[in-house]
Amino acid sequence: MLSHKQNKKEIQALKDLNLKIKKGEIYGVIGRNGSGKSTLINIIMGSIPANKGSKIITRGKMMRLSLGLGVDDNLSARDNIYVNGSIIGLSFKTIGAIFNDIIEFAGLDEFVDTPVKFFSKGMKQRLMFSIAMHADADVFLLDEFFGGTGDEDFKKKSDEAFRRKILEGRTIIIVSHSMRIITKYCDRAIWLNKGKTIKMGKTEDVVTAYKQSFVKNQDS
Amino acid sequence: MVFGIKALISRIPESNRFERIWKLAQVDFKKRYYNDRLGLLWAFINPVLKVFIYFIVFSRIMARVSDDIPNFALFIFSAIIFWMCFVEMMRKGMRVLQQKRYIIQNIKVQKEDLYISNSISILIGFGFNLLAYLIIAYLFGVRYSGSIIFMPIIILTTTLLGTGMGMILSIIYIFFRDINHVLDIIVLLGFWTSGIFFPSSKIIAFWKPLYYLNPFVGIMDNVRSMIVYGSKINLEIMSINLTFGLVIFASGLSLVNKYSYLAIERL
Repeated sequence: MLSHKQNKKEIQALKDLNLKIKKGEIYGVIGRNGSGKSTLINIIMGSIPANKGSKIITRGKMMRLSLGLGVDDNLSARDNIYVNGSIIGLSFKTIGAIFNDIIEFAGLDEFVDTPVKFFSKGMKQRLMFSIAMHADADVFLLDEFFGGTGDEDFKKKSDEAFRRKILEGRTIIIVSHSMRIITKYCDRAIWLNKGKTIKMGKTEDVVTAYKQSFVKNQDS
Repeated sequence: MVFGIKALISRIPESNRFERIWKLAQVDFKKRYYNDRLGLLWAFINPVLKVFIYFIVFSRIMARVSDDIPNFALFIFSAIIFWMCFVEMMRKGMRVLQQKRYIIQNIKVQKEDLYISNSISILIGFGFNLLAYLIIAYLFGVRYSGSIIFMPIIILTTTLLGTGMGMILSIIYIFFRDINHVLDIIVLLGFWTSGIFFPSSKIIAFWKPLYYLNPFVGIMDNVRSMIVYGSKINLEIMSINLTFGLVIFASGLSLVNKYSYLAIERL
């Protein structure tokens, strides 16, 4: 965990950041651990206030999606769907209407009322992914959301669902260590290091520069 | 006028806020009994067995001690269910930011909702306790007075105090984890200065200001008037207690609004 002092420094460094993300755009955030990616997400979310003088303007409902978070082991799949569904902004009526879709998509038909603690890791991930697919928000912050969810079959299915349900018409900020994912989905990207912007612009350019920095480090 | 109403409506947040509060409370409550064979039945059995033990202890083993207070077992039990409700709200409230971190981090949510749902889940359990008590007391021959209609206000006061204290403690907890241990001492002190085992007259005789400083002295008094002795309650102390509760709740709320973001960095 970051110490307070370090955090302060990062937020100040991010003060020089001037980031405009257009509606419908998919934006990537890359950088090593501790580079300020999470701080950036937290500031955008409004869960950490930015320093004085900073202006954060966001429009629409925002939601951060990260796998593994939010499943309560002691609750059944059914209760988890209702809890998580209402956390991500759905009414009970809506959840009721899509309940079967979620279960079917996750392939958990027989385990609706089984406490999640008896689920395998893959089952849990499938459950979370299926719930998140139905999230109701305009802006999504995907924080390492893709973690090799499930088997190949599910990966394929989820990739397609992801494109169809989440990407469509939404503004998305993706934080990931996987350059494959950033390159695959993002229009533009930013590379952060120790809170400072190293490069921002077209995804290809930023990713290439980022990859080169590793090669350089290895050489020296 | 129209503007006033509009302003009020705009304060009403997105439609599923109340559903979310209720659902969180519901599953919190459910979780406590999930793994037990008798499940929810425990919420009812537990208080019944407790009253029974108090009854045996104070009517047989310690009969002499309790001689001058009629219905001593009920006298104690009525007070304890209110006190436990308060303590539980405070204890669990203190940890809310830590335990509900996955919510705070992932969606913009009014933080007070988390404390409120926490308190509601405890109120559900409290409801079982109270119901068990009322039935048992009735079987013991207690008849409730008309002032029982003020019960919701007493419960509200207890909830405001417990939720407010929980909010305040949860913020202190961010900076000072040791508050955990300090809390144990405060709870013990509160227990013995709230008149759970003796009537408020003893507290007034000991140090009168305590009657006003510790809202639970008045709460216990009024609770007993309602559901142990079937007599009139003290409306003045009830209003003072309610005001006290509102002040504590408002203080907690403003602290949470100001500092709860630190929980994400520090907890």
